[in-house]
Amino acid sequence: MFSSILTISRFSLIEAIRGKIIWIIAALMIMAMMLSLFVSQAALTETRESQVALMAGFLRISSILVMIFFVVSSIARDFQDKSIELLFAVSIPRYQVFIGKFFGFSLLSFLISGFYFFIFLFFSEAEAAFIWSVSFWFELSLMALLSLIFILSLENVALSLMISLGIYVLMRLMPAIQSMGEGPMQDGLFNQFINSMIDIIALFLPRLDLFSQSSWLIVNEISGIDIISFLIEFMLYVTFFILVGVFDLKRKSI
Amino acid sequence: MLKKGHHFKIQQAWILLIMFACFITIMLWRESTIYQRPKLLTLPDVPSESAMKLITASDQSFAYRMFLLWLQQFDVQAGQYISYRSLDYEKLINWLQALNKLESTSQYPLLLAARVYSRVEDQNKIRLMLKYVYNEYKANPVKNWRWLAEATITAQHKLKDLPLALKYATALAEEKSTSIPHWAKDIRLIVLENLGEFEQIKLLVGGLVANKTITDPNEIRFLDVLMKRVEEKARQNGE
Repeated sequence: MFSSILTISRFSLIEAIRGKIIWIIAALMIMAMMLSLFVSQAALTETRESQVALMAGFLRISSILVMIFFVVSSIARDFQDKSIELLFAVSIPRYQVFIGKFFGFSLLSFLISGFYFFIFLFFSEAEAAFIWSVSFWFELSLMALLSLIFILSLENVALSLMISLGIYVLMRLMPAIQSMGEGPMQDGLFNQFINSMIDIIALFLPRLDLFSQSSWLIVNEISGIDIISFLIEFMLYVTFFILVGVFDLKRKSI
Repeated sequence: MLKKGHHFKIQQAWILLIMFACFITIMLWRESTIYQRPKLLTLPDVPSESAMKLITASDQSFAYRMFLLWLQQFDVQAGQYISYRSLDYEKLINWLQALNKLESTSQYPLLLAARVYSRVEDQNKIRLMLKYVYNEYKANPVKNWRWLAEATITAQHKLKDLPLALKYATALAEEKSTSIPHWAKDIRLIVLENLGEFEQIKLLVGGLVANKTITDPNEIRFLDVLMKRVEEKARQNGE
């Protein structure tokens, strides 16, 4: 079981490396360094804090985009050249194919976060850089998993990209949307209905606002609750999403 | 085959010709006055509290620093610098207030207020900015005392408004917190000296030394020098 999962994940990783993803990440890192140089010239005070916050924000958003695009295009190519059909035709269970693919993308996320860890070592305490990188690895893996589910389920590149990006924005903003719905003027019946709908949607989505916060790299003070929160969120939702993905794949006729 | 090749070459020539015409049009467009006319932007209103919450929810530190740099660079527009005098200071203060709420440990908005925006050549705008610094000091003296110290100096030397400088210096001196150093609290004595309130200085210094608020030998020496200078000035004024 493990050997087939590992083989599939290894091939996913090799595909990423051959697809020059590492070069794209290197280009992003160079852009982030140039941004930090620009900020160091523009900021009047708190230069390090400004550099770190903008670099972390830029790297997070751009890497999430790269990961979503890579996962969707990679699986779309598998559909086009029929290699996904080949995989399902051999005697490897579908759940192993799914988990193998996810592990491969998660390994790539690990590599990317590892590079960023070394960058932030220059700007922040090692402990803060480490926790931010681990958290970002989980965030990137979760997004890879969601994109994998969408492209396998929808088999449509444009739709999967739009939904993955939309869901990412929604996950990041969900607590703000929820708190806006709890204002003093929001006690009408219709508002209550909308609020409960939003609460139900929020249950199905991980709270990505708890992951890789730029402020961790600035103040170097990360509470135990911060760490436990993102760890538990990751564990719960990764299990839930893998089950959703496997269930969907099992009922699919490919 | 030859005919086809000939036809292809004619097509290529046409494409090149249209491309060239496009390029010339682009150059003319870029050179046109409509394109070059710079549009002066005015500072927008601060988003409502809930909109601000939504904008910054994803990553508060990132959004905070982006907004700060944007605000700080707002005077540089479309290849020209606009004077701080043309900025709407009411809106600017609203922005600084909103940003100051986002990151409790940061000093950046107060630095912009005390050191950048209060350098404007407009007395009313300076007063607005200093009032903002004073209000922020009142809200959190321990964090913001040094910006009020700078505001006091601005009021004294740039505005030449000694009563206003005394108001700020007194607010600093009367703060009980030990995190405000004595040099900042002593600014009141210097403002009083400039106001010619020699008797009040004597009373204050006497009180500070008597109730052992000041124990540092260097600071006592500074107060001694100040007292001697004050007495000399009082003698010259015939008090």
